[in-house]
Amino acid sequence: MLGRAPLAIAVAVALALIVAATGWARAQGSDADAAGLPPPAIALDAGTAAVAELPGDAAAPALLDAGAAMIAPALIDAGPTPALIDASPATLDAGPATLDAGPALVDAGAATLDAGPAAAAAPPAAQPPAKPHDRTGVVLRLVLGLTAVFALAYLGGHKKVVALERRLGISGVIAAGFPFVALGVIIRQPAIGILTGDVLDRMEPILHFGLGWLGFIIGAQLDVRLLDRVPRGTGYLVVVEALGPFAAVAATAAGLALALGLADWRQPEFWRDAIVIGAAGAMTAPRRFRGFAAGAWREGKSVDHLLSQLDEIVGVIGLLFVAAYFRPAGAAGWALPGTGWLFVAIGLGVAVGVLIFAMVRVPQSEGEFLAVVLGSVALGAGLAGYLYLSPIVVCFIAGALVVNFPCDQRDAIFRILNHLERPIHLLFLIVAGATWDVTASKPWVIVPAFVVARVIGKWIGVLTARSTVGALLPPGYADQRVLVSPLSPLAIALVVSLQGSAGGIPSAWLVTVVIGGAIMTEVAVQLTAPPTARPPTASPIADATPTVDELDDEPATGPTYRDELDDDRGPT
Amino acid sequence: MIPLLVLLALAGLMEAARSFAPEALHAGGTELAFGFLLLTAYFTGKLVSRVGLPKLTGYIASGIIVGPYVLALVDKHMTGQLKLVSGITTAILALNAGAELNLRKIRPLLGTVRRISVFAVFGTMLMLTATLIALRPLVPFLAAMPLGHAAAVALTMGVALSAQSPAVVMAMIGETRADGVLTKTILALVIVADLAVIITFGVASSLATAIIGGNVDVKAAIGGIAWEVFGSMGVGVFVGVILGRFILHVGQGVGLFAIMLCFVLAEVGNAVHLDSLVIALTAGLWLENVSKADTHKLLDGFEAASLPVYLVFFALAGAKLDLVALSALVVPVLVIVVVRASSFYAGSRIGTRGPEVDPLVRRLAWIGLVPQAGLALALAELVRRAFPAFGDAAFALVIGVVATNELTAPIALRIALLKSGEAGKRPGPATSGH
Repeated sequence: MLGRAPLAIAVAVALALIVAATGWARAQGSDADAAGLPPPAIALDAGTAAVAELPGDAAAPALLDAGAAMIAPALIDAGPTPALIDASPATLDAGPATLDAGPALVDAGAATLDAGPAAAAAPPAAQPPAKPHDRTGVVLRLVLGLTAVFALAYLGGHKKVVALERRLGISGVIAAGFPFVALGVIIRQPAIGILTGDVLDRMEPILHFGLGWLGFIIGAQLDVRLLDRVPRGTGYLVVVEALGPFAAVAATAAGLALALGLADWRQPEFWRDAIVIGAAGAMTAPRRFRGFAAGAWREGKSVDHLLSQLDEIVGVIGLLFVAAYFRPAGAAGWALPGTGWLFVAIGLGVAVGVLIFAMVRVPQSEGEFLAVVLGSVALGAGLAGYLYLSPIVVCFIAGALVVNFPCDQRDAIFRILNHLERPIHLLFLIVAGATWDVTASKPWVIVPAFVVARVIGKWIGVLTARSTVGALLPPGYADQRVLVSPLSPLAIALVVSLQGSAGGIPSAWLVTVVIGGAIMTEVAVQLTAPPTARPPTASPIADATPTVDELDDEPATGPTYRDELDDDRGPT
Repeated sequence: MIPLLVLLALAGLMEAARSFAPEALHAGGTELAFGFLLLTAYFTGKLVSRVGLPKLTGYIASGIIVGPYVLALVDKHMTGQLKLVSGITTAILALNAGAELNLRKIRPLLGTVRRISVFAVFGTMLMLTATLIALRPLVPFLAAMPLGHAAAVALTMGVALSAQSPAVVMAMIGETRADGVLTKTILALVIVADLAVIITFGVASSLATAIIGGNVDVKAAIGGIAWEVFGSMGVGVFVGVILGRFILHVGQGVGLFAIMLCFVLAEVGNAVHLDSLVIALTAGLWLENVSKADTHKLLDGFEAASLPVYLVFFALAGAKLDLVALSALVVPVLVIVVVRASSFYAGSRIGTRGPEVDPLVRRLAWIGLVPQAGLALALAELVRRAFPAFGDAAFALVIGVVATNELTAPIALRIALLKSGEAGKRPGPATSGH
């Protein structure tokens, strides 16, 4: 009998094979009209294109399928026509196929009429019409492919898989998640066509929700009472050590982008990208990152750990400004100045936080509690997305409020948040991979500069802190600092968040620099890790050596990278 | 007090957000609607439970109030974006129902179930058909067609109107934690009746469109239905095997894995013309009755993980009801509602004659057939699309009946379960509140 971890991996491999096989089948032209079909995502967009491409009799069954086959909140949408949406069989507890029980009764003419504006707005049929069975194939491929992606993300977060990664020495979430980035790169290829641009657009609700989830977690570990117990001068240390890399990375990367002709300083996107890349560079993760929800600092833990927790705020603040001052072009709605949006975002976060604080007091069972937390995060992220603000920012503020009010439910909230955190990160890595054009060569020039600038910025920050507040801090706080630290996974989320509504689509060079920089930094971290932090090598006697968790229980005596390793006990 | 204040605050936040750009389509609209409906349904359920009403009624009522036809805090575009939730919920409920049905334990009940199905379900279909024909003067679109055509249409509508709701029954059993002979009979009954209605509707609608259109393709209709039912059963066994292996060998995260499977069932099943309800039901039955896997792991996993989708599902069902527009059809709707309930009662009494039937079942089982929700809405939509010339009027009539039953029947069912003494008999912690 297979053990659990191997089985989980076997399932993961099987799902990956599904993705590969569906793509291979597509590439081999197993569908009769494969060569003549438009890109799959376009074919699936029944509301705007596919309906028009299915004239006459073919339209009727296809429309029914399209209506029913909505993936996630809107991956394969039947379009905005209310009649068409309402016609979806998936609305109904009879099961979708009920609608097809009597295929003969579906009148092609009526179905075409129901297409409404979608059909009317359609361009002339330039492409060969897709046959119903082709559409079914496309739907199947997409559903199975996306299901495989979600399943992989979930299984990647399984604790057995995480334990395996630790044994292999790849416990940083980005290093461990590199296969997921690669997966994203692969499945966006036209031959596979699963995470195409259109599908990514339609995944926005899921991405927004995930961003809100992360924002809430990061905010919920910002317990200000802990800050009261840190030595005097720590705040200054944090600010300086975050601002150093921020400025160095932003100046270097943006300057190089200008020099290479990748950006134009007269465009607002240039300044937005500079802020984002600076914020990404300023954020660090502990060497063995086990999730934000597990990362709360407490007395006795390393200062690096505290800093890695607090410098996430730089990213949040960066996003706050990006979403407020770089509104998407043509965004409808209230006409407010950027500063107005700043206050709207903060006010919204506060309002949602107060609401959540009241709501979490009501549930009586675990299921109810899960429902309320899930609904709260969805509400916060949805409100932010609706107003083209950052879900991370709004939910961060809400989370910080909830945890800083007297609240008996804090541990329960953390437990729930923790459960989905790693799968969400891995999903973001897949999406980041899907938005990444690895073939563009120029941005790669910036990648090493990004890594070096980050180290230099950190060094400047450490020097500055040491010279100004070093005397106030305990020994080791300001001098025994590590300059090469992994990039926080939030940096990837930061880029992905631009894929949604806040700030607009990320520039191609930005994606390459952040992902490439994250990977290169992980390599540098592994090379420069002190012996105490090196993971035990995989060997037959590995099980006999102390586990990571056992090592973690050793008392911390100074700035080390023994981070958040007692987090199974939950936050304190 | 807190639920009421929370509801007011939620409505205020939503109204403020909607004032941003009410006509525009927003990326954040989907998760906003999800979170908003989930929370409003949950807190409305809490509120109504304090006055003795089922939480389910609160969920549905919340959808009506915040939905497109009353406060319009959630518009049609948003509800359309959330239709996936309905598909997943259907599969979850069916999987749950199947996993709860131990055929060995309910074997003594099967005879009763069969007799009630014949007399109550099929009898009600015929009674409703006759009622619609009798109501022709009050139903303009029926009055305008020849008697033969009217009879065919009435038969189709009669079948659609007789539909039950396993979703409501399952949710109410969960809420009351009921267990016993009546509960098991009702559960088995609605599942069997659901299958019967699906199959009969396929035949009736094919016949009706053929009669009106002048051509009959019975062979194609039967082939389609056979594929849908038996193909779904075959796939259901396969899914049951996969799920069983997962429970046996992986064990952790069963609830999430099962929900993901339900997502696939809802989407893929539809794409290949299979019924996700039948697939999931068969998978659940396989797990409970054939597989060595411990179905309690699945049910426990579902317990917490499925409440959010239940809440949104029932709120969405409410959001689809336009009660104001339905007021114009009040007389025929009420007549049909009364005939339908009476017919279930009479058919059930006939089907439960004999000393071997538990008196509780004889007295109360029929109430389990009365609730309506998703299946009936699906069939109403099919009626509308099947008859383009008068589909909207037929749709409105069916929806009127569904709306009435959706709002009132859960209350009756809850009272019946409480009165039977079977409420609270299910072991384990309080269910998640649905």
